[in-house]
Amino acid sequence: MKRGLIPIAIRKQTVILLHLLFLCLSFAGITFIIFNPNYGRGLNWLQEEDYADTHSFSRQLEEDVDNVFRYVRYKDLLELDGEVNLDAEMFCVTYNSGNTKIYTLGEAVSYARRLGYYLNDDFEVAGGPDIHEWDTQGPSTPFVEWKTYSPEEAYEGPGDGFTSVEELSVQVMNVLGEYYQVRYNYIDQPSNLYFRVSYVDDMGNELLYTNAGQRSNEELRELGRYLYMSGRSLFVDNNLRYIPENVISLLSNNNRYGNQDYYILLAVDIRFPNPDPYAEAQADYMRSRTEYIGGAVMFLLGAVGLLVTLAGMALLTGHVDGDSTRIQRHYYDELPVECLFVICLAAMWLAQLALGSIIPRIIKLIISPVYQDYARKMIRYILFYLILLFAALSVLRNYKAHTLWTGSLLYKGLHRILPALNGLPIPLRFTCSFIGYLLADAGLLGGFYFLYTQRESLGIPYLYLIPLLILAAFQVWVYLLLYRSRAESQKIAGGILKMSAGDAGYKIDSEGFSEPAERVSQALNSLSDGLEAALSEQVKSERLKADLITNVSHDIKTPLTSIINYVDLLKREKISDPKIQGYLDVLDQKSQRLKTLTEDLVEASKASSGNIKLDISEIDLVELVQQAGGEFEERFAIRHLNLVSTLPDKDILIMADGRRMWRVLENLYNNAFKYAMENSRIYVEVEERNSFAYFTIKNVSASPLNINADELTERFVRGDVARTTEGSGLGLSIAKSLTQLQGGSFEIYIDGDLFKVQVGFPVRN
Amino acid sequence: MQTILVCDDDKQIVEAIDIYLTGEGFRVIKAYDGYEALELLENNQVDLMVVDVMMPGLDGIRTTLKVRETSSIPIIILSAKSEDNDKILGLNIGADDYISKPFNPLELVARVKSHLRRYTQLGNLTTQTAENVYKCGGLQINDDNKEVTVDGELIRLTPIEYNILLLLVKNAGKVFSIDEIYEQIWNEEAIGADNTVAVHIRHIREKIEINPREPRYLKVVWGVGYKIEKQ
Repeated sequence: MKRGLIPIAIRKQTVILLHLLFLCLSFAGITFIIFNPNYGRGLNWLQEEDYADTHSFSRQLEEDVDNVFRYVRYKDLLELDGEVNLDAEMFCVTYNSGNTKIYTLGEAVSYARRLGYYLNDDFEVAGGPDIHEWDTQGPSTPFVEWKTYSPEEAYEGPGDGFTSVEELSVQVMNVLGEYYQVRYNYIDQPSNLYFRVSYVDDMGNELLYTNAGQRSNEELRELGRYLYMSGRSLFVDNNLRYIPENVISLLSNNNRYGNQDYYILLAVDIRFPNPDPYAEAQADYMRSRTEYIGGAVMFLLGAVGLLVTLAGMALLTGHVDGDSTRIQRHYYDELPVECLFVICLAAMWLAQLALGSIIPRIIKLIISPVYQDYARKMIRYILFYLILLFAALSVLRNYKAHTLWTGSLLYKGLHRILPALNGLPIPLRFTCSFIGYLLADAGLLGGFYFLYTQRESLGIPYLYLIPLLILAAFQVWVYLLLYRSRAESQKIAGGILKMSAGDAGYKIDSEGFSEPAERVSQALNSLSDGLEAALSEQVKSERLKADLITNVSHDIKTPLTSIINYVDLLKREKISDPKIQGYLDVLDQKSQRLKTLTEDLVEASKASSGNIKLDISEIDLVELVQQAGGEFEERFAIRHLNLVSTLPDKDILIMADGRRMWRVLENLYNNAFKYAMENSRIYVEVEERNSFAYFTIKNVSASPLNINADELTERFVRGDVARTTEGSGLGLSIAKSLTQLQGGSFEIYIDGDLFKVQVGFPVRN
Repeated sequence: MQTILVCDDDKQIVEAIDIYLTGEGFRVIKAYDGYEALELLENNQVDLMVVDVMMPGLDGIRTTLKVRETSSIPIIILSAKSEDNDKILGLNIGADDYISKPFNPLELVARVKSHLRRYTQLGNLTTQTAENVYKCGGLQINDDNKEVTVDGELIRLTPIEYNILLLLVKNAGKVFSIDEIYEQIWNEEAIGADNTVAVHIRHIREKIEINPREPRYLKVVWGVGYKIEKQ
């Protein structure tokens, strides 16, 4: 409710502002992470918790072990009763003159100092003369007899032993510097590292090197991290994550005595109370860790915020008020989407140009060299992101306003081309479409090839994939189009087949059809509507006709009954006048004929309209023909007709209504009885052929059959055009209708005067 | 003298039937609609009724239903409707016979006589059921003296006709095919049987039936065979 009160413009601006804010936030987060010394280590290291567990700690420890043993080595040489012994002998040289001179520490240092050497703040040798002795003296260099600071050095080759006093003095000064460094860092200054190295000499005296003073080994261990190793054990007692590897070899190498009674104890006070490299490194570590976590949190927050505000922008863009249907487009949204695409590409290209020329110069003015490359990258990403965001929002507005497709150049072009195509004949149109399809494919492939070969110079990564993606989408679109058209024509064809097979009321479900197919199926559906209506109309009118005929025949029958009865009564009056007798006979005949006519008329109309209830069961055609023969044999004899039957020995079963089949045969036999030539034969045959049972009756007509076979089954058509014989003229029509109602075939053949009817039924297996 | 009630709204038809039946020695009383018929039936001793279906007022079907509430006299329905459904309806509601218009007067007389014979003789015939006597409605065969009677009237049959009828009556309700009948009667296999059996059957029908085209006893099951209707 409340949100509705805030004007949409303010909401939009807020969302955009927030989006930019989150963009900055996430880039800041990324920056923090990338410039953290731990970048690239993943996130596991955050769980190490403690500086003492890090590699950098163990590297520091390793370095310190080196220093400690350096101290162990030099202490006995340079120190006497805890003070530096200037009289300690350092080296001995023999000059060319044969003089041998031993240099003490003091002499060597004085010699070096005279030449300009000194120790700097880090206890490293610095300074020195412009011209070195080893450059001027040439072959007149003295020969080194021995060095106390490097006793194991051997001189085997002829020139190995020759060196200058300057060089030796510098070496001594170096040794002194190293000694001072250790002493200063670990002994004179308070240190977080405590060490205690102990050897036992050949006389059994313990030689102790330590900065731990009087603290016991146990006290030292409790300071935090420690390492203890003795000459008697192969194991290193420690609570470190990484053991400094040099400690083992250095410990045994520095044992100048023939026993194993030595040990080393290293301990680090993990509270780091004293300012030294450990304390500094620990502070650094903690800071970078905080920074890393902070960066990650910023990045996450920024990313989530970006997504949320992006969704907000997508929802809000284009809307000008609470009404969700009205979409306002900016003037640049009116451009076709292709133009937008090109503008977008151009903007990206310009940005790329700027990044290659102006921006680096500006960056160099304000940002330190370490960050310049990174800043360039970031600016590039931000620029590209903003360009794409701008384009995406424009596309989204067009989508919301439903003008994305209709406003595109492709759509406009198609709408200019398609009507022109519609005027063309189909084959030409199809060919044009296909050529258009090929051209589009070729164009996209060409675009891909061009961009791919030019990908170095364009500088936009993966730009060449865009035509490839469009190509794939295009293929899918064409496939869907073809698929749909095929499916539609399949459906329409199926519908037509169904309609032609007799399902007049079949309707094609045209839901989701394309426009032309929709039109065709609509037309077909209305066609089927008409067909269905016409058929049901026909059925209805046939039924009405049958009902009418039935009712009329009922009305005729009642007066006919009286006529027949009174004609009969008249005949009983024994009228002697032969003339009146003759009249009565005519009346009798015609009234009887009227009777059969009304009865046949009802039956014919019902049979042809299908208004009959059938009682279909399994019957034997042979039995039926025998029964019919029995009924007619004697009647045929009246007209001297000979019935010749050819029947198979086995039963032939068909599915039919027995009484209706008898009606069919009765009509055919009656027909033969009435129209066959007297003294001729009537042939009746039953046979089974190709799983069909055929009943055939043949006779020779008494009068010439100058009539078409089809016409004989038309109602009221009789072989004799003059209609002198009795009969309604409906017999064959009824027989044919009844046969067809039961699913049989009824064929009439006329060959000269030979009249033949064949009735066929499928044999039941 | 037996009294017959004739009821039809067509006066000429009633008149004609009156002439035929009076000629045969029956007393005829005439009604022209259903109510009249019921009234006459109450006041007269009537032995048989002939009634038309389509009448104004009470029609033939409802009249028959009313009569059947009190009486069991034979009723013959007379109708212009000749469809199967109409016949079945008429016989189901209690009529004994159904004759469709236009009818053969001789057939009507024959049927009237037949029904009357059966109705009056029914009582004393039932008591005489001997061992070798087969009955089916009005049809009776006495195998001891080889006599066949329909509604009491003696029928003359040839030996083969008699044997066929006996076979069918003994197995009333069962349908016999032409081949089965041939094998039973002639005692030989029916190979290439001609129309003999069918012709005999037709002869039997002509002898025992009033209208062989619409048999009451010996029915043709077309395409299957022949049977005697179980009654």
